Amino acid sequence: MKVVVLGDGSREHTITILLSRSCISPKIYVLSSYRNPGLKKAAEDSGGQLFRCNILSPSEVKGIVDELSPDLIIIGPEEPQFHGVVDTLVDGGYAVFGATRKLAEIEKSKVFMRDLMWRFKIPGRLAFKAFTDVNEAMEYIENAGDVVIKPARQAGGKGVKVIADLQAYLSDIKSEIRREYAKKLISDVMTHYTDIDYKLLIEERVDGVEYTLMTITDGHTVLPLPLVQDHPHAFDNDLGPETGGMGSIQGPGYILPFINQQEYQESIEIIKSTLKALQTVVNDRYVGVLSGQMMLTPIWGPTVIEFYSRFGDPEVVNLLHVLDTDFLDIVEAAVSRKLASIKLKVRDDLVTVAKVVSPKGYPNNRRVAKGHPISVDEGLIRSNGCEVLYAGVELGSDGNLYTTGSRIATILCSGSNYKVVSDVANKCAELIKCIDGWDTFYRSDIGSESLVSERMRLAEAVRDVYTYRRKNNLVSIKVDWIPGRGATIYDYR
Amino acid sequence: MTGLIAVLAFDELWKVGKYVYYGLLASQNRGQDRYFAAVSDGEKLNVFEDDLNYLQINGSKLLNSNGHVGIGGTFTSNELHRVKYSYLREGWVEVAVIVDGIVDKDLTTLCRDLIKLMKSGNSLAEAFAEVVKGIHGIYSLICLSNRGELIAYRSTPGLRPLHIGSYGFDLAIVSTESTPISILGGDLKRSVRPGELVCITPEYVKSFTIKDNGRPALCSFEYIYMARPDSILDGIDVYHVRKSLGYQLASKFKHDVDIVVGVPDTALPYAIGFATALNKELDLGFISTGSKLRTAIKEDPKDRLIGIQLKLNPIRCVLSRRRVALVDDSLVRGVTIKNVVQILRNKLGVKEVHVVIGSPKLRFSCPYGMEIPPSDELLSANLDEALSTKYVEADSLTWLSAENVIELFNKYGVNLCLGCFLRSHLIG
Repeated sequence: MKVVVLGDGSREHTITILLSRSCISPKIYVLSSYRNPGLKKAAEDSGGQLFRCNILSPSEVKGIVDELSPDLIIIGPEEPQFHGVVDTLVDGGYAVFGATRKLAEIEKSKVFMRDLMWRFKIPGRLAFKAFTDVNEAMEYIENAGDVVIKPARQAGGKGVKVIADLQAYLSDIKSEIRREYAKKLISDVMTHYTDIDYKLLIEERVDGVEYTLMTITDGHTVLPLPLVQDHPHAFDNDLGPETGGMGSIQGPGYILPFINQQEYQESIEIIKSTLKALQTVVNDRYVGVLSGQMMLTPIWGPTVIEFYSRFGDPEVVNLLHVLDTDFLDIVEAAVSRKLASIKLKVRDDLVTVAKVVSPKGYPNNRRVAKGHPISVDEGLIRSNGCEVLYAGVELGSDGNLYTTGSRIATILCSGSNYKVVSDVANKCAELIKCIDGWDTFYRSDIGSESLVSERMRLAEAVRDVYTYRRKNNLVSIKVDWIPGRGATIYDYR
Repeated sequence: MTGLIAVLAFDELWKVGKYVYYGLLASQNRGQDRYFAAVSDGEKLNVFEDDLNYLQINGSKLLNSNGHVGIGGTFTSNELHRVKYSYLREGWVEVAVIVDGIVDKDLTTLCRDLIKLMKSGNSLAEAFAEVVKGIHGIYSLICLSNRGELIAYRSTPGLRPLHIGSYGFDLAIVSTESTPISILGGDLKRSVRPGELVCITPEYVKSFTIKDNGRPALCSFEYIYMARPDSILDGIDVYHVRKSLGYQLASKFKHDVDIVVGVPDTALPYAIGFATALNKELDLGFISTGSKLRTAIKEDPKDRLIGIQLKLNPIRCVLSRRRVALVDDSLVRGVTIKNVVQILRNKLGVKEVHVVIGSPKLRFSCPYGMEIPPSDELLSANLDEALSTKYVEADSLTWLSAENVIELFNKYGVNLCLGCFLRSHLIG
């Protein structure tokens, strides 16, 4: 059996390892934009091969796929979906695991996503306004107070600016930053993308505990995976700029220490309702991954921050040690619309911690973070029971590994409790180094007792408020008002 | 004392001058006379210093300064403020440093040593890790280079507080107390551990353990008087400590009263705890005039008295012809309380005044930088209970015992320095 995996990073590396464990032992072919050593090895070990290509080009991808004529194609990242790679392959008659262009709008367009949620009254929605004109956006921002500015289009998770504004004496500096930022966003980010009408999305800001719910679907059945929590801040104690994710924790079982069973169920219901609404609007069948970047908030309890039309990276890495069901079986069942036949088996005796090692300079100054030779002591990492999933690492023509400027690799560790697992992961993260002396960094606090218990305290406080407000019917409406322009009413009921 | 504040933006879009400015305003409880600030744009340091009273009038230079990282400190004038901060430029390297507490090294020399090491290729953090070996003292310190490197260090055993917070993905904030972090809209993340050096740049946040000897100890006087009641120091709510001590105080109080009033502002949480435990009415006894002044840290006796009288204008209908419990946080020289008692008796015709103090007898000066007068100026070090009661002209005088304080802090599992009450100073 031949399987093609499309993508570059530690998410795809995880997928190839999951596939290689299948009793069917498929030949894995990877289509990638650079030579990721992990993907290359996984492909070659299975008897397959890694092909470099422009993974965003439907014709280039189809050209290689036609040569291979695989039984199954798995799409890792979101951008090829946005570019219509899935549509072209499906039209070509291939069995593809991944959302088509129109379905992937759920991730690509934040406006489409919020609009859908309001139209179908899906719980966990937030008040928002979308803008094509910068000046209009500015005027709204001036009156909106506590808001989040997002590019209207998914831009690799980058570009979200959360600027809390509850201190009038600091407002003008923040307005200035927001104005500057909105302009920068439009000139830097949004001009690269001509595939969307709206430029900016201004959304109400919420506080709470974030978590990710990944699900696999065949368009009918939704198979929820265990909850995972990502850590977007670059540095320890949740300090520093936003990254693509510096690590994640999972377990024990399907929930997290700070998210309870009911909240998990409600989150699943949100994904199910959204999937149904999405398929109705688009009139297409969703095969692939639909994930919710969720937050437990005082307004709603489980609340949607974003949807992803793919696995989270690094979130999916955590599943490597706890997924006991043959992953290939799951994917095959999804593409052949028989997902209802799958019983998911997850180890509930383990917790898992994933830690990402990044080069100094990531995420804000990737130019200087690029091109450093690295060494990875895989043997020692394995002997500690951990695994390395390669991300922003390229196998150079000289046989050495070089940083691409992005996150280098993810270390996965599992065990019976977070503290022990986190400590071992820290030890292993030290085994990834730049040979030229350039600094690398990782978050030693991910999975630590203090951080996990801090999340528990925060979640408990949020839970106390939202359950109280629900019970007493205090969930009602929000009013937006720009003086001289009239009011907009958002009904949460 | 000194209030330290540092703000660093990870994105250079930000100008932090305004943040340092409001950070200084929020640190005035630790020093209300002078300020010093330094802001870096990654290439050079701009330095600001003046009388703190002028900050709101002509602080516009600081407010509008260019730079994504800055530090600041507030100082009292009765310390030689020169020793609390320094700025030095040698060649292409500039360094500014601010200290809360006491160090045995001249700060200009410290800057010079840092610059020397930085010129030979070390980062500010590497240079400090070397220089700190030659510094003895009990202190917290922040330091900024012209390149925008920020470091924060808290010496063992941790008597001077230091906290780290953040504002979203954008700012890191370091502050002596947690309050300035929340005033700046941020979230408190944690306290700096005793012996820990934290260095923050837009590209990394690193922590090093410089010294790790023995159990940490916290300063009891921070909780009793110095810190703002809305601060959380080392995970413990200052307000909760003061209210709990007030509560405990009630069990030592043997008299009957009609009303409980607190001396504003520090003693109010004590009065709330005390009145709650006694099940007596708590009322507002005094209204302040002018800006908030911390009378006990004024050097000149006349200034102190003026401060007291301005902040303690009594409300007649609350106090007149009543039996009053008057709660204060601490008894230093006794001048404040004596003055208040006299006003209550002579001008308002109060029937009885019982003075209740929310801390043990203050008898020793502090060798670790807390500004407590020398022993010969402390009432409890010189007069016994009977004489002290007569001196302040009260009908009774009640203190907490050191055991009360220890018992409370045992619940938090923390070790406390009670040197100013017991002389058993923890460290040499």
